Amino acid sequence: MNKTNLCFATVLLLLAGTLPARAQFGDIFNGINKGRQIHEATQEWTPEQEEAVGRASAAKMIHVFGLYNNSSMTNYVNLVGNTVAQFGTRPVQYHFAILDTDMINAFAMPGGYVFITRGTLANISNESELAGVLAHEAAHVDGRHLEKIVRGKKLTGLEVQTGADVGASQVGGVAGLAAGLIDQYATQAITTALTQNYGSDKERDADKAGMDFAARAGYDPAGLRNFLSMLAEAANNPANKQATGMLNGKTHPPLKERVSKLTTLSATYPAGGQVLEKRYRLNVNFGTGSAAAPATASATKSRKKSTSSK
Amino acid sequence: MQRSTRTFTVLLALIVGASCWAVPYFQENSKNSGDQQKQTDKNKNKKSDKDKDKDKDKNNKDESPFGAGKINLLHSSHTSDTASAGFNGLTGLTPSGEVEAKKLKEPATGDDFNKAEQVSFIGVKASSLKKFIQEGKLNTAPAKTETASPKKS
Repeated sequence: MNKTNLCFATVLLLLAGTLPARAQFGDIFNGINKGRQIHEATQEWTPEQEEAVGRASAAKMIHVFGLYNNSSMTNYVNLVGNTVAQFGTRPVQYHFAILDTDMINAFAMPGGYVFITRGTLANISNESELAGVLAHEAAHVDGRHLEKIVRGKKLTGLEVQTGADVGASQVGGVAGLAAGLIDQYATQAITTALTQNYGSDKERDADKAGMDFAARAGYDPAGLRNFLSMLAEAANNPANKQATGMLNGKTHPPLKERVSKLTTLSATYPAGGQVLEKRYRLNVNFGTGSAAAPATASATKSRKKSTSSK
Repeated sequence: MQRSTRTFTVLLALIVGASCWAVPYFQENSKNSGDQQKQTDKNKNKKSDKDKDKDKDKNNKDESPFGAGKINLLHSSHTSDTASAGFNGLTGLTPSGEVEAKKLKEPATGDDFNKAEQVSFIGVKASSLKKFIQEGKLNTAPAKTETASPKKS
């Protein structure tokens, strides 16, 4: 009888002993899963993965601002964008689109999805300025800037979740990236693009590389500088705060700081280059339905002063 | 005697077993309370960041290195089918020009994904680009590897 009791007690103790092991195995499985995700996060995205994250990010961007439906204007933006983007260092298929907002900004998503706002187009005065803005964004794509930020965030382990944790019904997975992870990357990409600064190093790189793309394409290298210079002055008007607030210090370094750096940078390029004001006016025209507040005399004067007419 | 030994053994095993289950539970709870503490700290930091931003804005206003800010930006017309576009197309932005947090958290709809797919097909023909470059007296990049065209799913 004593033997039976001893056996019974041993079995019970053994059973109790397996309980912590349950927790240990859970930890091991979690560790393996996290390890797999960290491995994924350290890998540079393949063209297919970049395209999938880019498209999911584009859908979210369109959700926030809406898409401006004007095929001829979109085509023109794509021609200018591809003219400068052809000087990029890696093969990317670019898609330039217009966001339906008066806010002044432009955004580069992974996979070559580049958005410029209607407000930006309305306030640009020639093709070299547009080329400068688009070249800056193409340089972000070319340097995988947003991808690096998103992958960096995953590495910190702050937001590691499994695909099942997030709503990913609309997004299909691609080789090496589960649908849930694509949706997470896209959310992070949009949140970063709309609420954070990429960092001074990445902005400086994009300004430098963008000016290089524009200059090599034959545009006036000071295009972006001239546009930002006009905006820096406009940003001093409290009435323009809502339109310029995000660009001026939130998602990009403050305008005056960038203008100063771009002025120094543009001095390293030979003078000249195409400005193409007439072609811009022919292709970007918001027509009679425009709820335009006409630019003041000082605005026109300021723009003429800052652009070298060609 | 035998019966009391068995009862004691069963009780002991139950206590050991229960404590084994309880340890991960308490660990989880302490983790959660730690997270809550972190969240509270984060909110406090956010508040102080906001104050800092206010000071920053004040300083920027004082400096005004680019003139008196007389420029009025142009507002263009917007499409009628866009829900986000309001009277001046700045709906969904805070007065300081940031996207409203509520809008940022909303998931994209099926329609948004369809539009994104349309954008994915936007591109320019090589011949059109060549013509555009020539007309603008611009430059073509030296030939390099073919543009990657990932399969559209």
